[in-house]
Amino acid sequence: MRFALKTILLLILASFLTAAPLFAQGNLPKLKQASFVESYSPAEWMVKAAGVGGGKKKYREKNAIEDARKSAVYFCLYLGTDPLFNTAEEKSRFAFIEQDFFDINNVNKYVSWESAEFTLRVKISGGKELKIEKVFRINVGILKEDLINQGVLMATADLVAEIGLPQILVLPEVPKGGNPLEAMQNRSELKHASRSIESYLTAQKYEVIVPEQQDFLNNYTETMHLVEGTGEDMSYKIALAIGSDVYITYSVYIERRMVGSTENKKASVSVRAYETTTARLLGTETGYSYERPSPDEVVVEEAIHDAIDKVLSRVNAYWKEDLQRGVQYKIIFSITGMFDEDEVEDIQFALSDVIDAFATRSKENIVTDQTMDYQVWVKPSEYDKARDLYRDIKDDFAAEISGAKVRRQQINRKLLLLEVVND
Amino acid sequence: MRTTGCVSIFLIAFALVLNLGTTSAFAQDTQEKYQRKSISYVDAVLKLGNASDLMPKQERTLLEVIRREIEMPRFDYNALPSEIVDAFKRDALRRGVQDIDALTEAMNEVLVPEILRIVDIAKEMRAQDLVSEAAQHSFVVEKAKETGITAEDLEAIMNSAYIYLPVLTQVKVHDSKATNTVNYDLRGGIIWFAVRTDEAGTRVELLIKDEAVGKGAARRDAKFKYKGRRVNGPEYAFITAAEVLAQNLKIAAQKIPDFQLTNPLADTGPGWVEFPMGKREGLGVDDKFIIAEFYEEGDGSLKRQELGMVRVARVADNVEKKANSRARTVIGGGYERGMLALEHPRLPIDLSFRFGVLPVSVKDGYGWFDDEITSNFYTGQLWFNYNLAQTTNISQFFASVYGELGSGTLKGWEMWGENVPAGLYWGVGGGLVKKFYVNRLHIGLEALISFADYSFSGTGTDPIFNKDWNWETSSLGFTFNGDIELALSYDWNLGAGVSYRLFAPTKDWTYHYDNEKIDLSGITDLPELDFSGLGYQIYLTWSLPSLGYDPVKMARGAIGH
Repeated sequence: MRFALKTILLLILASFLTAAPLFAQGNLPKLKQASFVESYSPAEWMVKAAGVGGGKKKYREKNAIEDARKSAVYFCLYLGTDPLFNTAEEKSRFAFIEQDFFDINNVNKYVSWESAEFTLRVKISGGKELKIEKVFRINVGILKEDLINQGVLMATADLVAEIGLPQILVLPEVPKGGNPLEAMQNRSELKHASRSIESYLTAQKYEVIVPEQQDFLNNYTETMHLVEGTGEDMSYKIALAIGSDVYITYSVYIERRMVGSTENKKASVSVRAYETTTARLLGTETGYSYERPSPDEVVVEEAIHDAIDKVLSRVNAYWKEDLQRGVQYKIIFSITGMFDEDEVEDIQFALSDVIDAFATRSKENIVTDQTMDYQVWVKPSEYDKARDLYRDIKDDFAAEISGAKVRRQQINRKLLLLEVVND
Repeated sequence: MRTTGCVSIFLIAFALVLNLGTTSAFAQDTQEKYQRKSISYVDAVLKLGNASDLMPKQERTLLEVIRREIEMPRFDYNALPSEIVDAFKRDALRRGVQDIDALTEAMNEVLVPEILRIVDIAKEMRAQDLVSEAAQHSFVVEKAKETGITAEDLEAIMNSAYIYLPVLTQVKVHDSKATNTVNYDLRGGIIWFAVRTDEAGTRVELLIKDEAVGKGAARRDAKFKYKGRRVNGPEYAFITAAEVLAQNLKIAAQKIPDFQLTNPLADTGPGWVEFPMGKREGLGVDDKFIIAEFYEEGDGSLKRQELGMVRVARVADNVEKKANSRARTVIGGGYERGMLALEHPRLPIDLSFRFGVLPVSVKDGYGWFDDEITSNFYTGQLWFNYNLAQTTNISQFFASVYGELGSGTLKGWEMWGENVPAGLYWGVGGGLVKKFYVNRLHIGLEALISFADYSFSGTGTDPIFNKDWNWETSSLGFTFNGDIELALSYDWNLGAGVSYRLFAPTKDWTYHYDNEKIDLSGITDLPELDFSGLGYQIYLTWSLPSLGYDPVKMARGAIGH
């Protein structure tokens, strides 16, 4: 009798275990097939998604459409080149709420428009299920907001509170040694492209700098002169001089072809995002427009929409990751005073100790007899301004060593150009 | 034996029904939409073989009727300037064009550049139709106030130009003074060329050759009215042959995949479907559409399966703005949004083969037999039902003509001492028919004016009166039929019905004895024959894909009026 009872209990347990994957499917989309169509606006993505519907014949289409809506939202969260979830932590946090999140009433909130027509409609599983495909516009803005409210994504608002959204400089890409500002002045499509990027970024509440005139840089002549030695990349120098967190370069290419007597244009825009302090490439994407009989501006903007959103999500991913380490600065010390070899060595040790004392993390890029180039991360709660950081360096250095002092050459949001002179 | 026959009929019917589910394995767009095509033509007929003797006037007539049929609203037309057409004709003449290759060459050189120029001018406007719903909601359209047209759409328009050229391969004329008749037997077709533009350049490609026949006949000495002008017998015979040929070519053109109206269902309900087509595509009431569905196979390929058929009940006016036409389900059901509707072109003529059991009775006038004898005639009937839906906008409303031939015996009937043998019955008639559809089942009501004729003959058994004799009488009346039909397939219906015939009883006999007509004017006690009463019929109706001749026009030609 006891044996029989045990067997029954085991069987019940086994059946629960085998059924577990079925329950796990729950509200999640069955098909998870979708593709990105275009970035309709900074807050909305156009996605083509497929869904499968089973059950009673009269409910199949409804079920398939609901599944396709879920697939479209699933795509925005997980799939494509730039999903909303960038980290394993975000995915694991979402796992706790995914069943509720994919409840169709919740999913419907994010669908701002869907096509009445199908792009595909086919019976599968020998006619027992219906597979459809249609185009949806998903409001990624609300989606992101909800995920932040539910603690899945880190709120952009928190970042702003701590270190602010990254300040982004937008410049056209030019050949080595070329001047991006001149290029922008000479080519109208480049100017239009920068405005499109600017408009897109400001809609996302980023602080954007688009230096359109040469005069703009006149204010930075001294800094530009000071960062001369950082390389030939003019964009990098301008970013450093201005002190943006990230700089974006772009190139525009318009292909032209006649169809009958109509000129058709297809624009391709390559967008690259770099970390200002190191010129490290954060993300690159090429966007394409459809080939259209439209003015240059239309196809350029369409191609930018195709590319910028993906690059921006990589910038955000970088920004979120970098935030864990603190606020990043580039510090260049120039030892310009009259010191002998031993004194220089003592100064360098002292500077290294000073940096280690306040930085949560640091990286020594270049060390020569005259120059020390550092990349440092500091706690934003302690240093919300570059000036505070400079003051601590100056004071700590003075405490470490006598006969030499640290003096400011140039300071901006990202860059501290300091010199060590005789006291 | 009778049981075996019934089983055979049932099996044939069942096989026809099963035929609906035929699948065709090929992959294609599951949401394919008809895209308007732009058509050009050259007002010339390529005459091959004995057709080269065609007179200029006949050529013009042929071109006129072909254009009338082929130039359907589903096409946009590129009217070629006369100087270009003349240049092409001269070029074709110079080359001595007798085959398609030479023709293609001449077209490439003379016509194609001009066609492309015309298509080019209108391409933006035409491409507007190709912009998908999703593309209309794209960022570019919303923000830049663009139309959403892409180069792909423009290319599609540039590649949707076609040229057609009528070809006549055979003209047979049978002109008989002896019988006072003239018959025309035309065989010809249309060569369709597609204009293709790609990186390799622009050229025309042979798309398809459609062939058909058309027959016409008339009395030689008769005069007819045709489109407001008077024509003689031979002209009428030629015109009717050309019209039949053109009508058959129209159906053939509608079957070409490039020209077939296709669209996904936009909405469905119990017994009806709607699709985004209408007057703009030249849709007509009672046009047939096959409903198909795609199935994904194990290997990922798509297979199209036909599910049934619908018939257009209401044509939407979509000339200015988008609108859906509604169709009633005939075969199948439970259709869903997104299934594909494919045009199933047919002539607006149904042919019906009927077996009828007709009432007949005879009343004695002299005392040779019982007061009244009732019996039946067994007839074979051929019906031509002309669908008037396109002109009246009333679905399943027909003008019908029929002819019947049969036989029957009135047992116990004697005439002047002779037993009346089985006689010959024939009749003709015409009238109006309305059918009401409930899916596969149709209820048909027919009201017709009928003419009936009965005759019997024999040889006298009396030693003196032993010559051949013949009795004949006829009467005019009305026939009212109530039928019930079952759609077996897209084109075949099986029907059965009862018929009430109301005829004037007749004593008006014609009597021949020894091949001489005998005057019966003084005789009043002749039997009274009556074709009135209840009858029955079973029949098969076939929706015609083509017909070599038009029976009504033939009859008009034969009557000579």
